[in-house]
Formats: sequence, structure tokens, C-alpha cells
Amino acid sequence: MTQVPKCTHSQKARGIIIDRLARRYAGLRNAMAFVVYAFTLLPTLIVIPISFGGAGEMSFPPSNWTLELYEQLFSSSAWVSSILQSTKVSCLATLLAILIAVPAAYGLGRFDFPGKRLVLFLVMSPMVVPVVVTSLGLYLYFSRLHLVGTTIGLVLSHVAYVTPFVVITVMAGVNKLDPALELAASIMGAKRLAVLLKVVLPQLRPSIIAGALFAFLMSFDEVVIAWFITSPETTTLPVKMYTSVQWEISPIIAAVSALLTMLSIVFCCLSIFLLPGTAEPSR
Amino acid sequence: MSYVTVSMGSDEVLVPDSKQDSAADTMPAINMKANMIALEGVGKQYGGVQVLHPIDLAVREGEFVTLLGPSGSGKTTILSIIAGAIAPTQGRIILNGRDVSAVPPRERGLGMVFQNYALLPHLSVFDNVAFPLQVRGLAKGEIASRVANALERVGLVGYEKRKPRELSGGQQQRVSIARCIVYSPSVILMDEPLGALDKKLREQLQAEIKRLHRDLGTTVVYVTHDQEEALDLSDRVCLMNGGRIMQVGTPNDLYFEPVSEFVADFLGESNLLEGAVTAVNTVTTRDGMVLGVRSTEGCCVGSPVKVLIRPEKIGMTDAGAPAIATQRHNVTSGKIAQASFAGGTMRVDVLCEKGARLRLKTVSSRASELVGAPVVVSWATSDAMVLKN
Ligand SMILES: Nc1ncnc2c1ncn2[C@@H]1O[C@H](COP(=O)(O)OP(=O)(O)OP(=O)(O)O)[C@@H](O)[C@H]1O
Ligand SMILES: [Mg+2]
Repeated sequence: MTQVPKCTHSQKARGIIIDRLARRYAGLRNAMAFVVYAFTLLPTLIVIPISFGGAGEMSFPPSNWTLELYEQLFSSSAWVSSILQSTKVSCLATLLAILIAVPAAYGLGRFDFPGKRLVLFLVMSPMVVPVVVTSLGLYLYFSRLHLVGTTIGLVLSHVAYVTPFVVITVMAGVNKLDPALELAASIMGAKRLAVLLKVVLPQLRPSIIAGALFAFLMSFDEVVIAWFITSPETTTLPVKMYTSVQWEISPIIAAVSALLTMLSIVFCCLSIFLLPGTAEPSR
Repeated sequence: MSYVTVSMGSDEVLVPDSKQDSAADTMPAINMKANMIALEGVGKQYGGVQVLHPIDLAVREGEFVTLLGPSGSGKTTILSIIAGAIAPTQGRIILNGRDVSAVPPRERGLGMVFQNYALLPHLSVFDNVAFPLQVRGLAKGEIASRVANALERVGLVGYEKRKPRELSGGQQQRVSIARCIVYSPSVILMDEPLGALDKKLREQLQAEIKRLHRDLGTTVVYVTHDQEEALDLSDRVCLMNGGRIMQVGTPNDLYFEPVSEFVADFLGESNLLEGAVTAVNTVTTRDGMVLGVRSTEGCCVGSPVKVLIRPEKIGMTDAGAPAIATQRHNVTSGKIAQASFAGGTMRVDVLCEKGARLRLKTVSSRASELVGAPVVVSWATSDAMVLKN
């Protein structure tokens, strides 16, 4: 009897001490976290000021602030067409990946069927295989199909590349759904399609948006597969950047990098702030 | 209240029950209605384990039947089988005269209320209630007026624009009831709809469910493990244990005519005295009390039985007062062993002279004066029920 309160007392005391320690060193903890983040982020962020430097230089801090690099970038048809190509490929790949991944995630997350593990493994396998190996395989396969160098070939490759990630994201959402809602809807007379459209998809919206943003960024950044599959006519932005770094280091690359970085940041912010469902506690 | 009067001696499980006011309590048989739900030999196995033994159960049109039983007794399983959410391992489900064993849930024309509401979180109250009408393709104006009507019935006018998470538990359950009555399903299934609410709210909603059932006359199959809820709401109660039906009957039947010790024990408090039949309508208990009982029909002399006496049927008088033992009364003297105060009534345990301990309920008096006092307790032989072992 007397042990019990004692025990909770000492536990409480220990808790208080830990609390106090935590508070005392909270500043230190935050400072360290800040340093680590700064160390990893700065090289990325540093391209942003550099990109506002003059046309001939690539230095930090820039001696004079201009938009010359951006002007050069957008007046070069090679760069602009690669940006457009990347945008096109990423949009199409995202769209297709969502169309494949959402039903797949729902089926895999909600139902049990024979061979489910095998299907899951197959869907996830592109994540396991090294990208270079995937690329080589796709290259050999697509050259038979005469898809190498085509936009559609690259889109299909990127779909294979990003779909597993979208499936994982959406499946996490499916696992949070209450199956009673779908049952309730069907008892109320809703057909399968209505259940899917009016009950399941609206609730999955946050996960689908998150998956789509993720897929778009992955495809937009992807360089290895694109390197294998694209031709000079279908060059994407990362491939163009890579080649331009190989032959000449043009300061334009700073402007492109800055744009890419900002794109990523914007997408991350979007996925954090624009998704109503993710911030709420799950019910 | 239109409550069912006890019809003694009707042991039949599927007796039509008389659900009318005492004024109209003349001919129950005339009110015989068709079966709305009939389960015929329905059972369920999970991986070789029979969680529901084949049962027969019929629910008549407009009837309020409650599945009552301890946790894991198979109540939800029965409800899910009726709803079509799970397929039975054996047996047939007849809904409104039609075999629906192979019919998907959406075509069974049922309504269901869940313990955790199952409202669509992304839709407003209005859209939630409108959902079953929308999937039926009703016109907008029709939907609006029916939703308004349903919300009015559950007292939620003015909450149309709220999201479910902006409502209290009781309000959410009202929405889910409105969503159910809005499309007038022929049967409403409720699985512990009040299970997640606090006591006060539970009583309030219980009264509302009762009123709605009376007003709408829908057939209701209700699941609960709260016996008071079951006794209050139901026309008939189906008491379950371990995947079997223990007894089906009106609340009165179950309370006053339990067929087994389990039923007697599950509903209300009971005194159970072990003994053996010694003569017609006479049982001698283990400690030698000779008791007159209502009926020993179906028992042989010498067969071991238990005698059930409900605490509130036992009367208590001071030891001095004359105790008239008749053929129709059992009388014994004893001492008060314990008395516990429970507001208006009190529970008194009397230690009888032969050693049996009887619990009874009386109108309260000062408990401290009572303990140890010699008393005489008596009860009508017709209130002493024999339960076969
Ligand atoms: N999917 C399942 N797989 C295996 N066993 C199950 C499954 N669903 C239910 N059971 C078992 O069936 C039995 C009856 O379950 P059921 O849900 O019908 O009980 P219940 O009477 O509704 O209980 P409660 O009052 O706790 O809700 C339980 O023993 C349970 O463990
Ligand atoms: Mg249950």
C-alpha cells in the first residue's frame, strides 16, 4: 500500500528533473538543430542569392544584384523547351501515377485477397531496385518498343518510378479510413461507385494531394532514368542541367537551381499548409 | 406507456406480443403481423470456431427487438448478418418475405445506426442526412424538405451547416438517427447506439428512440448489453450468451419467467435457492426449508432444481407481527444480516433460520436500527419460480 504513492512520487520527481533539464538545455538543443539544418541547407539556399548576380559572374555574395541570369535563361530556347518538357512529363506522369496508385492503394489497403502480398511486392519493387538498373532495363526494353527518346517512353518510365511512393502515401490514408463509413454508405443504398466517389475519395483527398505533389517533384527532379530514355529533342530540365555542367559551367545553372529549389520549397509548404486533413488529429 | 402485459404460461418463443395500451388490451392475436425479418438456422464460423450457433429468430413488422447479452455473445454478428456486412456460414435470411441471403447490403433496404456514429466527416449535417436520398436520385426540393423534417424529429434544426466534428457525441448520434429515418427504411438496425454517451444523455436519447419508434412504427433491431435499456425499449428481448439464444420474450417474460439461471441472473437481482422437488408444487431446499412454488410441472420428485424469488417480491414484517403461513404463502423467520441504503429503496439481506440468505427490497427506513433485528419474511408461492438444472 505505502509503496505505491512512494513510487509515483519518485517517478514524478524524476519527471520533474527531466523536465527541468529539458528546459535548461532547450536552447542548446534548438541551436544544435539549427546548425545541422543550416549546414545541410545552406549550400542549397546559397544558389538563390548567386542567381541574382551579374551575367558573367558566379560568386557569393554577388557584387551587383540583377535579374540578368533569369533573362538569359528564359530567352534561351534550349532551356525553356527543357523546362516545358519537364513540366509536361511530370504532369503526365503524376496524373497516370495517381490513376494507378489510388485504386491500387484502396484495394491493397482495404481488402484481403489471395496473392495480396505478391501484388504488394510487385507494386513496391521499383523502390527496391537501384535506379540505374531500372534505367538500363527500361532502356533495353523500350528500345525494342521504339519508345526510347520519346516523351511517352519517359512518362511511362517515370510512372513506374513514382507510383510506389504514391501507393504508400495513399495507402497510409486508406488505413486511417473507418471501414464502417463505407459499410454505412452501402447499407444506405449507395452503389460501389457512389461509395468510392462520395465516401472514400473525399476522405483520401489529403493523401492523394500529398502523393501527387510528391510524384510531381520526384519526376521533375529525376535525372538518371531521363538520361537513359531522353533524346536531344526530349531533354528534360535535370538532364539539360547535367549536360550543361559537364561541358561548361554557365552561371545560368544558378538561376535554374534557384528555381528548382523554390519549386521544392513551395511544394513542401503547399503540402504542409494546404492540406486540411493532415493537420487534424485522426478520428 | 404502452407496455406489454405479462401473459403467463406462454412458453412459445415467437408469441405475438401485445403492444398496445391497456385500454386496447383485448385481443392480441388480431394484431398478428407478418414477419419482417426471419433468420432460419443462421450461424457463423470464424476459422472453425462457431461464434454464432445456428439460430432461429423472427421479428415482426413494427416490432422493437433487442439483442441483449454479455460482450462477445454474438450480438453484433447477428446484426451484421442481417445488414449483409458479413455472410453467414449457414442458414437463410428472410427480409419482408424475400430470401436476401445473397443480396448485397445496398439492396436490402435497411437503415443502420452505429455506436461511433459513422458520419461522413467531410460533409455537413445537412449533406450527411441528405446522402441516402441523393444516392436514390431524389429531386433537390424533395431532399431539402425530407432532411428538414428528419432533423426536426431529432431536434437538430439550425445545425444543418455544421460538420460532424463540431457536434457533441449526442448530437452526432442524433444526426445518424436522422440519416436513418430520412429514407424510411423498413428495418432499422442499431448497434449499441448509446454506448459512447454518458448516462444522462443515454437516458435522454433512449426516450427519444422510444418516441421515434412509436411515431414511425419502424421495425427496429437493437443491440445493447445494458439490461435496463433493453427492458425499457423493447417489445421483445432476445437474450444471448456464447453465440446462442438463451431466451426470447417480452421484457416481462424474461424477468418473471426466466427459463434458466443465466437469464434470471442476467436480468435484475435474484435469489436462487438450491433444492429438490419433494412433492407437487413443493421444493425442499438444501438446508431443509420446505417451500411452496408456483409449479413443478415437468419435474419428477427428487429432481434437483433451483427456486428463483425476485427480491422485490419478498415482504418483510417485524418478528412480533402475526405471520400467516398459508398454502399460497411461504413464511420464514430470520435476522437482518445487512442493509444497504439505496435512496428510496433499500436492499436488505435476511439470514433465515434455516441458514438461507435472502435479499429483498423494501422502502427505506433507518438502516442502523435494522441490522440484527429479528424479522419474518414471506412471499407468495406464485412468485417462487422453479428453474430446472
Ligand atoms: N472477424 C472475426 N474473426 C474472428 N472472430 C470474430 C470476428 N468477429 C467477431 N468474432 C468473434 O465472434 C464473437 C462474437 O462477436 P460479436 O462482435 O458478435 O460480439 P458482441 O455480442 O457484439 O459483443 P460486444 O458487446 O463486445 O460488442 C466474439 O467472440 C468475437 O471474438
Ligand atoms: Mg458488438
